[in-house]
Amino acid sequence: MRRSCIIAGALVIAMALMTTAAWAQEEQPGQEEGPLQQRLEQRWEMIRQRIELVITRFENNEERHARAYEKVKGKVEAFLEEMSAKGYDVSKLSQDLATWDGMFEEFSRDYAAFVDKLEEIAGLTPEQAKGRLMSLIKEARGLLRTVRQDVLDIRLFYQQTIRADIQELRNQVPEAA
Amino acid sequence: MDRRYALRRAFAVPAMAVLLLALAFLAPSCGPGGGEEGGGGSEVRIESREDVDALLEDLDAAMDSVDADDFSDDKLSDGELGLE
Repeated sequence: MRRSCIIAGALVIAMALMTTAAWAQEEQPGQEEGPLQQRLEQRWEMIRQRIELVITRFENNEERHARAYEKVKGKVEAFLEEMSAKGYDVSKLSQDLATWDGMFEEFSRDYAAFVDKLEEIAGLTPEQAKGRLMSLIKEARGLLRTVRQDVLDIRLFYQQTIRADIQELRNQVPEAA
Repeated sequence: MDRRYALRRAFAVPAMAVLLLALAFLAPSCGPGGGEEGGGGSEVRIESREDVDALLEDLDAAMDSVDADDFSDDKLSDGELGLE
């Protein structure tokens, strides 16, 4: 009798423990929102830092491009002045240089719009990022393609037009005796 | 007298070192090729066709120093952004 009482008591205690464990498991989805949220925030912070790094790289690239263009433009302007002072007809080069200058401005504008977009993405909160990240990245990629096209246009215009104008003027310079 | 001489000497050696270091840093930035070559103030002298050829070489090198791929799609790929 006493033994069966002990067994029954042990069973009751075991069942009570199992029920408590089951309740605890049922409550877990609600409690997990904390760690899950934390994980999402950490992941977003990692992505945000990568975006900041990407912006820094693009800024360095843009500076290199702007410096190179400034150098080339300065030399072409100086050449134009020199040739003009010597009495050569530089009207075509002058006109084309103005067009080229417009291309530099376009590159600068498009690049600024692109970086603004990246900064907009980096400024999102984790909650905002959940809904908008991918669409904003898609927009940024579109803007990046425009910037790249501007760079290609600048290069092509140099090769096909500015360089050709300079060579045309070169052919008018008398050969050295 | 000896003490004053020793003191003067103790100061003279580091002062000379500082002066030499300052000169070493100043020299490259004051020379004709020193400093960064900026876009403004470019001087071009054209006396012959060779001068134009040299100018074109210079311009080609500057244009070749940058690449459109600095702004290629892969610079903003999922991998670069840590989205993979």
